[in-house]
Amino acid sequence: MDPTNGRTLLTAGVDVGSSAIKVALMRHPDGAPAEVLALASERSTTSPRPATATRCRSGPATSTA
Amino acid sequence: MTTHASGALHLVPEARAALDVGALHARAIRMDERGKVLAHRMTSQCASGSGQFLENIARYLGVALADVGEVSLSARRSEPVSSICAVLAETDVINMVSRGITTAEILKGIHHSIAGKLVRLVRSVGAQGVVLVTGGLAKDVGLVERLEALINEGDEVGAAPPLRVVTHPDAMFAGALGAARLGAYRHRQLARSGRLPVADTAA
Repeated sequence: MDPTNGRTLLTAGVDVGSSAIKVALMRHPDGAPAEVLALASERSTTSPRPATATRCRSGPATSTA
Repeated sequence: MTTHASGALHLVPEARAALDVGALHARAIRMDERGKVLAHRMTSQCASGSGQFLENIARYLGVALADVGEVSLSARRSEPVSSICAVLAETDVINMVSRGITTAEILKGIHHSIAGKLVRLVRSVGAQGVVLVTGGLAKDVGLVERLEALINEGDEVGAAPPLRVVTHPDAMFAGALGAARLGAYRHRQLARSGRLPVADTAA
């Protein structure tokens, strides 16, 4: 039996790069395409002008999952 | 590699290769339609195929990183730059400035040089079809334009299906998106096998 049947999962992915950290927050409804809830990035503090970009979404995203 | 392949497929489902161009390294990944990595390769230690190299040159030329692509696109021709070594390329740029070569032509030359390396990297993994450019340099329209120009250069007509370079507004998040997707996949996999901690399986 799959205890996640019918449940929506929320996951966060973190990509630690050499000059920036990128984060993605996703929602995975059971049996439906995953949605991107938010994306954020922050550049390394060694950069002359650290830049941060964040945005949230409400619309669904396509998925091949 | 796996996360980038998965993230690339999330952004562009028809992509069969991802070209991740980051600050220090570039890597090419060939994957199938399910995101399974079939082949991958990274650039060597030399920095001339990296975003950091481009950032250093842009700073030297006094061009904001966000403007590099547009400035490069405005050039009518590209000034040849050493594609062998980042140190030699930086020396090239200093010489070009003293010779009065325009900033746009220098940047286009650098984009041309980096794109040449990246095209060889993509071809080395046997990429076919759509190649999604990811990583921070996916936002550099000048580099993407040079990749589009070089990706099928020298091919005999009809020899193989042409490669198509594409990008996506969220391309720099491909790795993070892939990690989030794989996290959900792994969670469901553990749940099905009954190996999730009790707290996670409570209704």
